[in-house]
Amino acid sequence: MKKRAIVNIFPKPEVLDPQGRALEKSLVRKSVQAEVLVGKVIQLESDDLTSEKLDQICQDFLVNTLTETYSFTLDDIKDEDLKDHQKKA
Amino acid sequence: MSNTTIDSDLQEKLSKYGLSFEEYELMKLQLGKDSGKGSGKEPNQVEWAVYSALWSEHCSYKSSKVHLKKFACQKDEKTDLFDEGAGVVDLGQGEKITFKMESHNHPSFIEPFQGAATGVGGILRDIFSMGARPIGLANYLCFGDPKADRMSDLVDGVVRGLTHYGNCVGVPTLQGQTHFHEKYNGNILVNAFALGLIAKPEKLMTSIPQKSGLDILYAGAKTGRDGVHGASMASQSFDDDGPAQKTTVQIGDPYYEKCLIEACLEVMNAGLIHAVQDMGAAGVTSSSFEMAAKSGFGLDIHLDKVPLRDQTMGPEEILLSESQERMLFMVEPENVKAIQKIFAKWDLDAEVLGTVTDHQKVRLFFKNELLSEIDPHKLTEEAPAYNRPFDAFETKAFDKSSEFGSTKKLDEVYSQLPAVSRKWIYDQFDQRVGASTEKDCRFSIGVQRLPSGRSVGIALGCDPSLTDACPVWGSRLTYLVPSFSLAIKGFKTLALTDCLNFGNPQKTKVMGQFASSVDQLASLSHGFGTPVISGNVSLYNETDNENVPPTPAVGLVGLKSDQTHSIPEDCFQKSGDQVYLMSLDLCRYDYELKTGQAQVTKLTDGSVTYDIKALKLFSQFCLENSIHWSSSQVVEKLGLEYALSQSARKSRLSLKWSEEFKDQNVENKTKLKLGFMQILVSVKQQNLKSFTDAFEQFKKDHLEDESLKHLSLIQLGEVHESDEYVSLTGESYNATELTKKHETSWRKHFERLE
Amino acid sequence: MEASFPTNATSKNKRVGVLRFLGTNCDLDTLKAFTALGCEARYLWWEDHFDPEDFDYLVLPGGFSHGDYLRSGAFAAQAPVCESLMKAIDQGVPTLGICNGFQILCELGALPGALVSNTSGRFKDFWVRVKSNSGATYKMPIAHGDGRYFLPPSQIDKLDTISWLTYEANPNGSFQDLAGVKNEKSTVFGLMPHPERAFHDWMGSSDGKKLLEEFLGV
Repeated sequence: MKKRAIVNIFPKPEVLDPQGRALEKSLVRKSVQAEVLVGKVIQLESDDLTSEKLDQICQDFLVNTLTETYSFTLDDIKDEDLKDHQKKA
Repeated sequence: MSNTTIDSDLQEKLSKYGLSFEEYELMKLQLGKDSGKGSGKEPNQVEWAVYSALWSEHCSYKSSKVHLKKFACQKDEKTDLFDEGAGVVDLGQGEKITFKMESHNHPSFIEPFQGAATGVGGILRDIFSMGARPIGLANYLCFGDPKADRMSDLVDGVVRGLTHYGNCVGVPTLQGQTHFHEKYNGNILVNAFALGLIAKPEKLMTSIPQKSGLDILYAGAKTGRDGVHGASMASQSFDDDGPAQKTTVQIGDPYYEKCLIEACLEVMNAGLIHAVQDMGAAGVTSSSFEMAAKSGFGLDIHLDKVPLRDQTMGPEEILLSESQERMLFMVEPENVKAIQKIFAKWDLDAEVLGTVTDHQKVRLFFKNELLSEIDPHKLTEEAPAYNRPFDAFETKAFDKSSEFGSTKKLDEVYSQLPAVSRKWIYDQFDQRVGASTEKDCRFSIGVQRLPSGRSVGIALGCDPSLTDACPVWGSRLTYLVPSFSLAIKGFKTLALTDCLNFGNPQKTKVMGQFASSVDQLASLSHGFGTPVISGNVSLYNETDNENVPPTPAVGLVGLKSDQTHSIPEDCFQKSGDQVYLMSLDLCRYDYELKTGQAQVTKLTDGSVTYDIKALKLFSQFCLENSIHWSSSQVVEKLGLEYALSQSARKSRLSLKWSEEFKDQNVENKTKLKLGFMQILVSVKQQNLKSFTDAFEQFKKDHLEDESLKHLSLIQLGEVHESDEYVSLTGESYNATELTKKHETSWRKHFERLE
Repeated sequence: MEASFPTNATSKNKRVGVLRFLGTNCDLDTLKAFTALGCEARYLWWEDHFDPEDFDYLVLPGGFSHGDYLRSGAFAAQAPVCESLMKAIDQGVPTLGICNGFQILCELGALPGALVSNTSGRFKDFWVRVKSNSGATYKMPIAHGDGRYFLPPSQIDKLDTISWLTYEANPNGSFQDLAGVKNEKSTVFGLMPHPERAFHDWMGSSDGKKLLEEFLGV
């Protein structure tokens, strides 16, 4: 079964995030007060992903655990999603 | 217009492909001849695409080439000029250089980050496709009023795009100019300049195949849908839906380009390449047709062999895609494997698309089906060319200088946009990768050390507030300011490149500006013996009927061979040095800081003269005498007091006005008002006599020269240790305060940009 | 372009390996600098392994290795050549990382900490003055977007042993003004300024040459 993983990566709170800070300031101009973090999202689609394996890849490569935190979801890709995706490609 | 009625179907096609009805008729006629039908042949979709791209203003120069002929120069022994993307200057000692400047205005207004980034990528490919290693970048930028819609984001996006690409690709940015003028509110200008060096092991490449039987090799990144119809888009004015055209924006990848540079130079240096052309605007189409037209051979191209990012792309899209970081090679079939191996090492594709043939036609195939057979000579040589009507420009010199620009408090000047430091921009560029940078963007010229130990200098020119006031005098200064900037630093100008940014050529006023700018630049190029080795024209810089000011930007490159004397600095160096103004008063001009307006005025005796020979002699004098100076600068529109205070605040040394000068009569002091060509220098004490003697001798040698009677040497005073700059009228300014004002005022104009 | 600098006899015959990744752009500059110092410098290609015995020193030059699209230095740290590099480091071969090379050494864990985006969020290029823990000062240029040194709270006790170079005026928000750090054994060094761009007086300073000579033990 083909699986889709979504990895969310954010800077740790103790590491200043200049992009988030800049966005915070701009949002104030739009009358929105918010704490903002700017991170990354990585999508992987593969036939042989397990939760353990994904966690390993995150720690070894995708994430610098000194400065970043991460979380991920791992789901089966439903047939209709797959077709949708193929059509787009 | 002929009396044929144009049906709505055709009308739609004409507008989609950006061709006129007359051009459509000519295309039919050419295609008819190709297929033996005298009466003309209706183009198919692929042919529409090919003609639309190659007959766009961008690729064909159809409105400008009548005028550009004036740039043609005699081939001298130093310059190998041939019909390539850029000319080459031979410096001797096994070193050749090539340089070019190109616009990326429309894409940068639509999507500033990618537009500016791909502008850098494109100009670099022009350089390394000649076999040269890129060793320097520069940029010439024009933005609108900071308060205008999107302007802050445009500035941010363009700067990020230029730095992202240039820094990552590993070519230092050595020089830049940024102008602001409200006439750019709806149409900014982004011109990128690149300099390349051909020195062992690099060798000069050609784009002209010399024989048939060669393989056509596609190398670099895969082709995607980006930038389809980009060339015809760059030849249209913006209207209300301007920035909505995002689909045609190309995406640049500087990391890929870095690999492409290394791979290309490696295969070229190994002698594996017969001919090469980069894929610029209109991608595969323009590169292949241009190579075929120049060579006299034909090409068979199989479009389905083009490596694709998206397998559903059709032949028309493949032909017109402006995907970045691609090259087209002509190679001996036995070298293909070796080339592919080197490209694989750099993680890049290289695929054979077809062959060079004897049949003198470009035949396009898709899955073995012949889509089209076009004569490349007719297509390029018999392309439309227009001598568009224009209003001839007369220079207007006012009798008396108005009050404006004359007495302005310096601290007010420092907070205005034309005067504030561009440090925020240029600090973001890698100016030293390559470890050969001698002078960076903070200096009046960019300087790069060559392997032979000599130095090349880069200077850019064109001040839109002056060209807007008067295209004639403005275009003169466009050339003269950078030319003198090089001369006073000890650099002999070798050649120039131009990037002519103008409005809609179908308007007679705009075409008049264009014609007079070209006239002025061409006569200076001939008069100074400085060939135009490359160039680019960008027309239709127009939004909602507002045309940009005439902006004929130029890039000049000079050489300094003798390293026994160091380059004069921009600011004062040593207490006790004597400060002089050399002023060649052919006319005066005034500049109003608040409105950005300028005007040319007559001299006090009512005269206005202009003499290229005198200017050249003066420039030669500066070049030869630069060894006497510890600092030198060209006095530009912000005036002498600004120039002096700049020199003082940077060095923490100041000028002590000479009592003698202070006591002089008013008439003499009016010379301090902006004259046509003014050079401010500080002279080393030990050189004082030899410099003043040289000046006297120069005047004596040219007594018969009417214009040089207007050249004077005025001693202003002496450099002394002081934190305060005191102006002629007695106002005192603290150096630290001025520097603070200079560097922080940027913030006032661009609050949001951190 | 070929190296054209005079050679310096004092560091003759020292074998220097310069690691070259796709996207490295200070490779030639670095090779030229070590050649000018009299070393036998040669490139080590990212896909190849090497024998640590063949080199007296290893250098990771600046640039944007593999585009640096995930994080600066992250792709390069996965390259085969880094397996050999880590072996060499274990064996104590003196190693220097400049700019992107420093970022790669941090990604590899060969140096503590990490380099993150400058506080300004922008690439910065200008001259800085740095001071070494031996008291010497150097004028060298920086050119980086991700030069803010970060040391996690858990490793703060290492600070004194790893501190090598500090900025006189912090240009990027680095922790404790750090411009360069070393490992605890003082065999691996990383710095953000570019010594190879401060090699001759005409560049604006030759302090970088002094620093490289010190690295070579001249």
